Order: sequence, then C-alpha cells, then structure tokens
Amino acid sequence: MSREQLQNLTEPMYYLLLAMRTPRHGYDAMQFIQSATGGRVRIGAGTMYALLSRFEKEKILTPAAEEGRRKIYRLTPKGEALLRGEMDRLRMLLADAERMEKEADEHES
Amino acid sequence: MKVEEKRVWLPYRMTEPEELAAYFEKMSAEGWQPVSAGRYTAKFRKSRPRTLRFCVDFTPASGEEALQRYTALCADAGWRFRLKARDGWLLFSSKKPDAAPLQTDPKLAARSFSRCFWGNFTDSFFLLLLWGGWSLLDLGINRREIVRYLSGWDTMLELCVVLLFALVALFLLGNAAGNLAGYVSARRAMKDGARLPEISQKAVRRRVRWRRALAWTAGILLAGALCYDIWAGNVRPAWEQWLSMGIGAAGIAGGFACKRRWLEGLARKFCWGAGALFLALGVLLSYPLYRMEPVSFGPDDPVITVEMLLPGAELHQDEREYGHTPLYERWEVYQSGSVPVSENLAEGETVSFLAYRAATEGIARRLAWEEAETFRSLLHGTAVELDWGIDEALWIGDFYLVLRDGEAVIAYTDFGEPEERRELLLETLAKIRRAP
Repeated sequence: MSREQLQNLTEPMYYLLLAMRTPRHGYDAMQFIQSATGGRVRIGAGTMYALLSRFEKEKILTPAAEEGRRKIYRLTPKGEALLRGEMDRLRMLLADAERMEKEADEHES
Repeated sequence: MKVEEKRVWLPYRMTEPEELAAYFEKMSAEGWQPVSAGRYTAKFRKSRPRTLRFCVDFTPASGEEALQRYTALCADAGWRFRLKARDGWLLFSSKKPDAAPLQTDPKLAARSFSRCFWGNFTDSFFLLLLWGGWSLLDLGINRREIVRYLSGWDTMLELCVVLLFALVALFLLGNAAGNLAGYVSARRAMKDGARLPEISQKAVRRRVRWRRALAWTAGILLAGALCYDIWAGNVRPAWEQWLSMGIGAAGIAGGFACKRRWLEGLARKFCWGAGALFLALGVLLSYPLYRMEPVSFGPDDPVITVEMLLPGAELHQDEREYGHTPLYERWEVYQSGSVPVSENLAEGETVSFLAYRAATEGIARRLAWEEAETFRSLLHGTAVELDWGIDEALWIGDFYLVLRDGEAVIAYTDFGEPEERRELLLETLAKIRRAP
C-alpha cells in the first residue's frame, strides 16, 4: 500500500478511523465495526494489526493506554483531519451522485 | 506420560499457504499437533485427533513484543497462535469453523506476503553465495598455502563436503526458482483476491522425494567418506582427540536416549550440551598447528647449512603429488637413504624444512606418525624412520632455507610465537647438529 493511497481511504481504513473516535483496542474496534455495519464489514485480525501499525507509524493513531498486551488507540488531530476530509469527500460524492441522478431524471422527463 | 514427537518434510512451500494450512489440518485430524516448523521440515507432537481450522499468515510482527501483541489480538478474534516458522510465516488455529479470516484486505495481505517472501529469499541467496565461494576455495582455485591450510581437501571427507556443497547449491537454486515462480503466481492471485493456484499432488510427492534423497545422499556420503579416511589413514586423530570426540558422540547419543520428562528435559539438554562441547574440543585440539607467525633471521644469526643439519643431504627439484592435492613443483632436500625432509612451496631457491611444534604430546605423536606415513607412501618399499623424537616434535618449527651461493641457509620460520620460536629453533638446530 503506497503512501498516496491514504488520500483516499479504503473501506476498512475508513471504518477503523470512525471506530477510533472513541479510544479502543484492536479487537474492540473489530467488534464495533462489525456491529455498526450490521456485519457487512468484517476486518480480520491480521488486517486490523497491519492497519493499526501503519496508522501508528503515520501518526494518525496514537496509543492512549495499555491493558496487558492490548494497546488502546485514539485518533490524533492528524487522524481527525484525515477522517473529516474523507467524510467531506464522501458527502461530495453522494451530493454529486444525487445531483446527476436528478438531472438525468429531468432530462428523461 | 511418554511424549511422542516426529519431524517430517514439509511438502508445501510458504508460497502455497492454503495447501500448507490444509496440510496442518490433515495432520491435526490424524492426531499430530505442530510444534515447530523449519524451512523444509516441521515437528509434530502426538495428541488426540482434533478437527481444527488452520491459517498461514504473513503479518510482519517482528520482535517479541510485536508478536505478542499480534497474537493477543488474534486470540481475541478466535485464532490461537501455534508457531512462527523459520521462513517467517505464522501458523494459527481456530476451533471455530466460522471465525473471521485473519486477512480481509487482499492488497494488505499481498503486501505482507511480499515482505515475508523477499526477506527469506535474499537470506537464501546470501547463503548460496557464501557456500559457492567456500566451494570454489575448496576446489583449489586459490592454491596458496594458507588457503590450503584453511580449506584444503587432503581427505576424502573434505572432498565429499565440497561435492555436497555443490549438491546443496543446486538444491537451493532449484528451490529458489520454484519459490520465485510460486511467489509470482500467488501474489498475483492475492492482489486480485482470487483463489491461489492449486499444486498437483504429483509435483508435491516429487519434491519430497528429492529432499529425502538429498538428505540420505549427504548422510551416506559423509559417513562413507569418514570411514574411508579412517581406513586409508587420511584422518589420524591423536588419542586425546579420539577420546574427546568419543565422549562427545556418546553425549549426543545419550541425549537422544534421555526421555523428555526427565528433569523437565534438562537431562537431555545437558547431554547434548556436553556432547557438543567435547566434539568441539576434539576438533580444537589440533588448532595450535595452524598458527602461522613469521620469524625473521638477520645477518648476525649463524649460518646453518643443509649439510650441517643433515649430513649427506642432497638438493633435488621434483614434481610430486601430496595426498589428494594436485601436482606442483617443489624442491626437496634428500638425506642419505633418499628420505625427503624438506620441500619448496614458494618459488625460486627457497626450500622449507618440515618439522613441527605441537601444542600437546598427542598432537606431536600424530604429526610424527603422519610425517613418517607420508614419506612411506612417497617412497614405496623403503623403510622410513624419522630423525626426531617426540621431545623434539613438541617444539620444532617449520622453517625455510634460502639458497645462498650454492648453500642453503635459514631464512625464516613461520609457526608459533616469533621471539619464542627463534630461540627454540636455534637451540634445537644446535641439538640436531650434535646428533650422530
């Protein structure tokens, strides 16, 4: 995964950042994402670990506390900005799609 | 309770993770749980048959702490960590048939796989280079004397080691090519999130057969060569070495005989440790022979001629074979009775007088015997007696003579501590001159 890819987050990345608005450890985040998406998005432990390591390295997440061998992470200001940017991008995508759909409907009628 | 373990050849490579996982599932169902996995083999322990789901994972959790964190996360997700293989891949098992797979992002999975693969691929390549270089040295490309001392193959055993190097190098090359081909197709499939290509059972059986054949060939070749060398007299350890290596071998054999439960396996470890120590000691006992430190003799030193050293000696130029080493030109000093007592390993007019300073009496005895045996093999049917005894062999050095105005004079010696050697050498030469 190249550095540039972080400009557009993948689905697991996006949901992980959403989950981490509240400090959580990896498995907690996995469960949260699965229940929040009604089981549509499942992140495997290997994928979760790789994402957490990557985000920690990129200073998008930071360790907040430790519970035994579990690390609890929270979003950094950089992570929050990244998430907000992604949400804005998705809103724009949706708005564009709705506008284009409306225009197409009007054109047809 | 007796713990039953076995080590088997791994039929699959790390580039075939699905087959590898299925293999562990099959072994588990047959009552064998994995204990460890090397590059080509895996160790299993007998247990009751269990239906488990296995997963081969490539997440780069390097370092003990990272691995613990990762395995804790996997344990929360229902995957129990079983082992980290020598190749870097991790093995997990789960009792839950519906546990979420460890990797859910194909691109991330492909990236981890790539990192794991290349890390090990370069390792193997480096090893291959190292072995190739050593083999070239052993094959005698560099025939300088110091290299021959360090890597020469005067015995069948050494020659067989060279042959084995070549065999292993071929095996590694073939394995690397197979791994590379497997890597290319596996990575492509992983990136696309597609199913990995299947491996034919015939190819797998052939792979295992080759590995087994190589291991047996190596064992038979080495054991055969060692027996031949002992029979032919190429390897003649001193009795101290025989004793030390015998104790070492007995210790290692005893370690295998020890039950794992005795003192929680400590008895076995102690036997193996002591065995390895004695084996190493047996080999190291001959180490002092290979110290080479030149000593110079100046113009004020007494001129000692070959005639003075060895009355009746004659100088000859000859080409001969020494043991298994190739023919080379050398100078020899012949004493009356045609016993060669020196040879030239350098160029021109320098000749060297062969004598030794041995660190122990055992080694001195061996050297004296080897020297006599060499002369006997060179001079068939001639009775050969060495002109120095054990006492002299304990300290005599290897020194060179230079032809100066038709006479051979001492130039330098190159064994032992410089100052100590010089004194001892002069003293001994005086003794030899006094000898009838």
